Amino acid sequence: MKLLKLKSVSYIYKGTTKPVLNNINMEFKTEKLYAITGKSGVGKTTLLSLISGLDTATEGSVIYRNEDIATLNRDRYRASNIGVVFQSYNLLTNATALDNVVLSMNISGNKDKTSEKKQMALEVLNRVGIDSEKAKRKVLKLSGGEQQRVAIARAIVHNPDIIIADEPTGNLDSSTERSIMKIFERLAHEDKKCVIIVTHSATAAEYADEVFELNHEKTHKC
Amino acid sequence: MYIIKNSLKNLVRNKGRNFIILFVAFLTLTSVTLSFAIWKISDSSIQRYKDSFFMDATIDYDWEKLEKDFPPTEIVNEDGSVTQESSFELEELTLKDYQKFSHSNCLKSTQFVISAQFASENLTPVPNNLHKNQEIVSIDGMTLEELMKFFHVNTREEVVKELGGETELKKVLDTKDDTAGSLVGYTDISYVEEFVNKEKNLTQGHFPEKDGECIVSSKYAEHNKLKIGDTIEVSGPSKSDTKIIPLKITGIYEASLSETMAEAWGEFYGSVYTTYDTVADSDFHWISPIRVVFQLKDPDSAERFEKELYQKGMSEYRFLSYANEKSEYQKNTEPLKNISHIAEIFTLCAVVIGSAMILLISLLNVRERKYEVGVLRAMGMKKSAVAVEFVFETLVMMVVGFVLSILASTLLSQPIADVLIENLNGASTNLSPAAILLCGLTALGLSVISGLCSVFTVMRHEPMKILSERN
Ligand SMILES: Nc1ncnc2c1ncn2[C@@H]1O[C@H](COP(=O)(O)OP(=O)(O)O)[C@@H](O)[C@H]1O
Ligand SMILES: [Mg+2]
Repeated sequence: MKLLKLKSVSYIYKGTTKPVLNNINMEFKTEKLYAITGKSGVGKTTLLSLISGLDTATEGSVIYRNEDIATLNRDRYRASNIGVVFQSYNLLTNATALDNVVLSMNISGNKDKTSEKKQMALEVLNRVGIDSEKAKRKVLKLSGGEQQRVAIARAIVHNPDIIIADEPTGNLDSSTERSIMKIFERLAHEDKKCVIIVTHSATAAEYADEVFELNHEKTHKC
Repeated sequence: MYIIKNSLKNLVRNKGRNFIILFVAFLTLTSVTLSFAIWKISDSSIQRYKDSFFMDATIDYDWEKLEKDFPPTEIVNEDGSVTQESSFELEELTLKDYQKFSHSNCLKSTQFVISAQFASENLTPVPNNLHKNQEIVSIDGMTLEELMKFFHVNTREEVVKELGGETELKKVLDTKDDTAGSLVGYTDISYVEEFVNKEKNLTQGHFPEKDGECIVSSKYAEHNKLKIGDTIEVSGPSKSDTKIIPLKITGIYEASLSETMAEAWGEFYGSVYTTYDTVADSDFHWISPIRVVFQLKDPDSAERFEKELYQKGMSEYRFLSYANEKSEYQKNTEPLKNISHIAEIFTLCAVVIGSAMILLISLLNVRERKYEVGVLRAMGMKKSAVAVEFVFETLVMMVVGFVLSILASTLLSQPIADVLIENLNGASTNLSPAAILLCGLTALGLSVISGLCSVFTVMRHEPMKILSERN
């Protein structure tokens, strides 16, 4: 099923003249893992911020389930329909891993009992490789790889259709990289999500069903 | 609901930052509350001292000025002795004058002792013992002929001279021939000299408590066969006074004047004491003020009051004289005024400095706040929800600060007041509702400052910007 579509998307940062993204067209479906590759500075992160509704395209549109997200309530869209794993995680570092994950459920409007939400958050954390002891630690006291997993748990716990991740394996060793990529693969194929990851690691790209290469001239479907 | 929970959790998570804010807020609120309390306590000590300080003033002749402007003429008598006679007669102040003077907002109250002769059909004066064998001779009600005979003179002018003035003659001619004593009305018995210096003492019954009650001397009661509970009927001294006033006797006094003096002045026993209003409202002719004491609100209003008196027509040959010293008042109030003033300034400073510090800390926290805003907004939290969370955090902190400050101030206000204020004059050192209110308002003000900083951060920045800037 066609879930997300970029239609002639261009983007120019305020105060600059040169477009970072120029007439981009892409389509994303459920149950697929996509990889977007490209040189540093080519606009991958910018593209993700348009998909996640953190920013809006200067020209063209991002269509989610046949609706232009520019016309949607983008707070709601971010809270419920999409999960973002930021390149630098962007977790509340003073809060515990568990609190970060529960907060995401709360923001998405989950009205279950706190104990039930905690139980579910713990399950999700366990699924991405964070045990209960680590879940109750402050994020500050977790390693980079562990923080990455917490960020993934936070992005998927509210059951969004789309999960996007910005260089999720960028600063991880290769065995950790593989286990993280396996999580994404499972999310796409078993949980039937649309997973989009930005990466410039060849290993990571191997897991993808489809790879887009972004460059200044044109977007190639590989 | 989760927003509230999250902000409470957030308070605990950011202990370090919040501790500093709470500490500054606590210091500010406590300083504000305490200095305000001290300010008000010293003010109320001043007020209490003012209230207890009776500045009594009476109107006196300015003899010096009178003599300077109107030098007395010397008259050599037939026997060669010399009498000095003033060439200027100042008219007596009437009860009306005094009543006019007493309407002033410089005064706490005015004490009056006034008197008028009275006539009565069935009362007679106590006979003068000196003239035991003679008939008591009263000139009251005599005709001009009788007066000429009495003074052994032949002309009207000579009678006027004997009596000391035209008005005196008119008064004598107009007086009823059955005057039987004098009615004394007072506002406060402690201003009636003969009772204060114990020349007269109440021995039975009680002093008049209501209008229409009176006390008489034991001699007068004996002479007229009166007892407590009896009602006497009196009327004014002038032939034109027809109104009869009933007075109920509630007490008997003893006049302890030396025998000779008493005998020389039978009238001494004839005074009937009643309330001021009874006499003032009687419409009797010739009510004269015996003693009028103005009680000033405070020494500061003395000058204003005197000015007022001159404006109301008091002669320049009169002035206001005081029963007690102004310097004593100043000695007692000056240090309190200083403390009050310093505390007032301190209160203001505490508010301003405290607010500035909270503002500074909030601004320094904006960076940290911005990251939180970015994370929460990126997760899809609404702007308003983030703002509510932050404002609630601030409010909780200020409520805690407020409670702690009120506790500290309650404990400290008494010892600090004891150290700073030597003479409390019985003023309460408890924290007043006004101080608590001010503390609350300041806490609210600090919340607004701190809250606005966070809300501004939330409103002004887009999450993408915040996050990309940080990375
Ligand atoms: N806030 C910004 N304002 C202006 N230019 C920006 C901003 N953020 C990124 N850029 C520029 O946009 C281009 C693309 O950035 P980015 O999307 O982060 O690239 P990538 O993630 O592919 O490395 C870069 O040249 C970068 O300098
Ligand atoms: Mg990037």
